[in-house]
Amino acid sequence: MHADIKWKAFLIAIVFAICFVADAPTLGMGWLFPFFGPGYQDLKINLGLDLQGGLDLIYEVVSEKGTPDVGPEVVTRTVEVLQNRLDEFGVANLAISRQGDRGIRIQIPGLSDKMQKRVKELIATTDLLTFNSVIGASGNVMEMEKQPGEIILPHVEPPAGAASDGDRAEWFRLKETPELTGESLSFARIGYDQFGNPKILLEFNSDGRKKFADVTTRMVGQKLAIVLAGKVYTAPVIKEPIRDGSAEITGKFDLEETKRIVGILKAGALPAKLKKLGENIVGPTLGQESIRAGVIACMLGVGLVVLLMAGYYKRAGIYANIGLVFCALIVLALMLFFRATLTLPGIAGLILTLGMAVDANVLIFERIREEVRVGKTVRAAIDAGFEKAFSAIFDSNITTLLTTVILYWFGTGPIKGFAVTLSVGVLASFFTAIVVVRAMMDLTYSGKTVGTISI
Amino acid sequence: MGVTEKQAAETSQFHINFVGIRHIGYAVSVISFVAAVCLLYFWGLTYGVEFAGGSVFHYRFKGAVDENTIRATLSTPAFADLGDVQVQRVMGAMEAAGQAAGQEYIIKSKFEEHIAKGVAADEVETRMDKALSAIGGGAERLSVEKIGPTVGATLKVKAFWCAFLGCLGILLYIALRFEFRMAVAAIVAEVHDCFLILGIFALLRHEFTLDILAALLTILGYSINDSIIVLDRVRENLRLKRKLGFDEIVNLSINQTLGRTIMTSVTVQLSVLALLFIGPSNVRDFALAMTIGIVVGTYSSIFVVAPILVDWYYKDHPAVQQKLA
Repeated sequence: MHADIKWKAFLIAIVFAICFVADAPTLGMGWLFPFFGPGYQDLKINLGLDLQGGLDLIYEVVSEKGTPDVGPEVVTRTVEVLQNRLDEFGVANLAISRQGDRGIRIQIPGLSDKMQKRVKELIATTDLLTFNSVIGASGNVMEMEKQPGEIILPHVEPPAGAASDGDRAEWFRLKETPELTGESLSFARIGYDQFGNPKILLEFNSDGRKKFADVTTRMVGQKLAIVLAGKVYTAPVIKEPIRDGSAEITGKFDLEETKRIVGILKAGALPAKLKKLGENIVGPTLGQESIRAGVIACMLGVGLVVLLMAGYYKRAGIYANIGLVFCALIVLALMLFFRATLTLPGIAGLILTLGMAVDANVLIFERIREEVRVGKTVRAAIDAGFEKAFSAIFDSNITTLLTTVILYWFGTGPIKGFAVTLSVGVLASFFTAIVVVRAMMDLTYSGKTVGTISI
Repeated sequence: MGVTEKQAAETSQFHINFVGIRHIGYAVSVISFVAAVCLLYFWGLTYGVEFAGGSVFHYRFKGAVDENTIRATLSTPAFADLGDVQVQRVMGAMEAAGQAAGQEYIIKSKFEEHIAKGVAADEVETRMDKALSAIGGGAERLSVEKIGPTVGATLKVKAFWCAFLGCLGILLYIALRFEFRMAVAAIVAEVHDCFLILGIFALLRHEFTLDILAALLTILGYSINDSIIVLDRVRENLRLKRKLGFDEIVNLSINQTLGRTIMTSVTVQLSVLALLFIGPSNVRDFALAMTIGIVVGTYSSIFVVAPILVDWYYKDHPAVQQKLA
């Protein structure tokens, strides 16, 4: 019996050590273990978009006409293209996931307003690159009257004087159906003009070469706009047919941006259209304040519970409190292990878990009290208490887990986080109540001579 | 062991005849249930943007500003595309910290076409940033949420299935581990709790959001926990105390677990109340639902589950005499 307890204590100590080491960076105590290197110091819990701030977009994949008859392979391809596009754009930590049959959810943490706008443009455009024939141009968008089959697009960098002539106009009226799209490209690369400014060189595939030759033959003397991500880059007059299948985009962009555009062009066009179903943008301030308020509420809630337990169950209550702290450490470690994301409802779930974690202890302690009242010895009462409370704890934990599994399956963003913390909390509290608190009780009341129990 | 059943009954801390007064429990439960259903039918739930679709903008102002000023600013022709807006003041973190500056407002618009319009529509909040900065001595946009009607409709269906499957799973589990009568009694209590909480939300005119849905499901989990603790004791007592009548056993079980029931609801309530009073503003409704739910869940395990169990038993065994009247 005695050796058994020692083994248990040893096991518990190891679990505690592992959890503490894993949790230290998140708790701001990573400096205690400087010898683990920088990778360890960054081992912090993932914060959800609601805590960190960021962009959360939900789209539906629809056909060109806007009908929902698209196959799963089209959706898969769309996800790939979006992933490539955003990767090339240099968006960090982005998560693209499928939702249902045709839904796509894109989550990007912490972006500036300007970046958010560009990212949205990048996602929304089906064909990043199109060649449209120009119908009219003006410095004032109000003057333009859009006819059916036409679109009005802005110039990528409007001139200061808002000149209404030539290709430096601020707004363009274009034919909606493009003459040529990015699909006709064989590749895009970076070139430099005579001043060393970067430009984008486009090379068409055999099909595109023929189309481009046809278009430029038909449109001699007219203007053809090169449209990239919904903005007109240039709209030169076609002087003569171009048959060699190459074109170039010039503009005042820096090397960084040119590289980006080339990368995006390589990623290709979306095989279908995207319809926005919803979006959620959280600024960074709100997230930080939520974390602070959550942490304070957590500390107060736990503090009250700890006081109550110690006051009502005395020494046994203190053991339960140690178990509670241990439980919190395990929950955090498990969440780190599963790379789970902590969301705002997740914090609420955590607080709730800690409140419920003591339930197992309460059940056991009440049972021990009962056994003591019946007249059992301390040793027998402890054994009976743990034994008889077990079935109730087990069954209630299983049903809670059942609920969390369904919640997870239902899982929309934050709710998923809540389900994860709650289920992890149930598992952890089961371990601390049955094993850890039990070990402490056994160690204290191991002698057969113990006559009284502080509970 | 040498402990008689009579003695065991006396060791229970409490001696309340819950089963004897079960008609009061029935009356209260039925009246509150009917009231909740009526409220839901006639007033209905106010669905949050996740379910109903629409746009929500959350702003913080540096200077002082009131709801009417904001509403007036946003009803100019420049914001015709917003439609009717609903402006609501919320307790922000800065205000909670006792600072005069930093009033926060949530602006809601039913308008869903922002989303359909795609890129161009993103400028709504940019326009709002400008206009609101002018009236409030500087405005910071904390968050924007725009949800199309399709997402909301899908969510409602999903939420229903979620609750349904949850109940079914619990029903099966209890039927398997305990007995069928207990499973049904527990599920009736679940449904009772669910409607009562929804009814209270309809009464308070609080929005039903995703967070509230999570709270509701957690409460159902908590309530079933409570029921299981009592049922577990009934299961045990049925084995050990063969001399007692069924009603006595149920009553004894409630009394024996009453200490735990009170203690646990107090500890959970304490942690939830902390969230309710000083938690982040966006989880307060969640905490409110939990606070109400814990009370309702605790009540139902004593006054819904137990009475059904007892009456069903005597209906199935008409020859057996009830001991507690």
